[in-house]
Amino acid sequence: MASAAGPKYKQDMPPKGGYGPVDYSRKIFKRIKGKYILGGFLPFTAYCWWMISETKRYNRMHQLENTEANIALEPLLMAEKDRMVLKLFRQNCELEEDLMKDNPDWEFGTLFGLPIFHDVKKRGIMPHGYELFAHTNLFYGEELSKKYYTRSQGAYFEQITRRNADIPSNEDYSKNY
Amino acid sequence: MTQQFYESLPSYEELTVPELHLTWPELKAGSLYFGRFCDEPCKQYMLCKQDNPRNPAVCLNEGKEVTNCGFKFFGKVKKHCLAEFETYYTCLDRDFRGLLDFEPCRKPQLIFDDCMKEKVGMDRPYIGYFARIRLVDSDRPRRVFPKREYKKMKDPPTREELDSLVGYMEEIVSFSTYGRFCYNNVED
Repeated sequence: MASAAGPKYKQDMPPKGGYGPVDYSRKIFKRIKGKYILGGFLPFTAYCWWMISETKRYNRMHQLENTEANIALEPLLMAEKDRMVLKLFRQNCELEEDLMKDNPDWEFGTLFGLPIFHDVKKRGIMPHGYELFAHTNLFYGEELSKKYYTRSQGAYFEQITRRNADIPSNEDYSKNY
Repeated sequence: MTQQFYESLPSYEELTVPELHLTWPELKAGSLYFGRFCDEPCKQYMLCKQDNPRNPAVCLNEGKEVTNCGFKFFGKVKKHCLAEFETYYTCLDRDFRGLLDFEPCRKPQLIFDDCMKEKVGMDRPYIGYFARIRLVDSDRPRRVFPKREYKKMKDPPTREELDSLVGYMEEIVSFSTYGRFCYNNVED
């Protein structure tokens, strides 16, 4: 004990009069009565069932409204498509005549004398798939479409994020290709 | 035959009519009103298509009426409530899923509905209007489904005829199959 002015420690002691008595008596958890639990549970399930049916009905109505738009527009689009198909039919006939004018043995609309348009009962002919686009180059403009696809995607992204108000130029997007 | 087919097609002059140059959000925004406004021509056209679904040349006049009616309708919208319509279809176009859902655009829709009711005098059709059966009076004959003619088959053999065949069949079986393949019948 060289230094007299050192820290003074204090011994931890029990409080005056000692600690209180230890409580070791049995303590039972307060239980909710069964009738109250049932009384809460049954109405809640009933409410949930009602809510499920309501949401199902709502979703069905929501789906129906969007399909109705397509139903209402169907004749308008179909009429336009019919005219397009007939125009292309006519155009194809003329193109075939023009293409095979040097070959006198070629019969128009037949494959070496075998008729293609099978319309015995006069029900009409509706083309399938790429039949109408036989005289076109289907791969024309593929590079262009790639280029503009990336451009449109980028513009869409910026529209969502709204970082840049100005749409970047076409060359910036075409650098990747 | 093919020359006949070429001549049966309508000419370019018949086929060229002014077309509606509208985008999909604009069409969808006005679709339900269009369906109610052009109810009769649409029904006539679809009846015609139902009768001959594979021949587009038959229903040309009905289709022209439909597009003409579409011009009338969208012209009315353009004349009376263009601003409301523009806000409505831009809202529809903002759907990031690309489905053009009606649900998130109720506010502009209600404004557009009020405008249509005031100026054009049309109500928005209730949900389920186009999904129900809609009757129409037309001069078109009732649709007759083609009936296939079946050949009448022979009557099946009676029990007595089958019983009379039993002895005959046994002879055939015994001679043909058993005689060949069963070694028990072989006599050394």
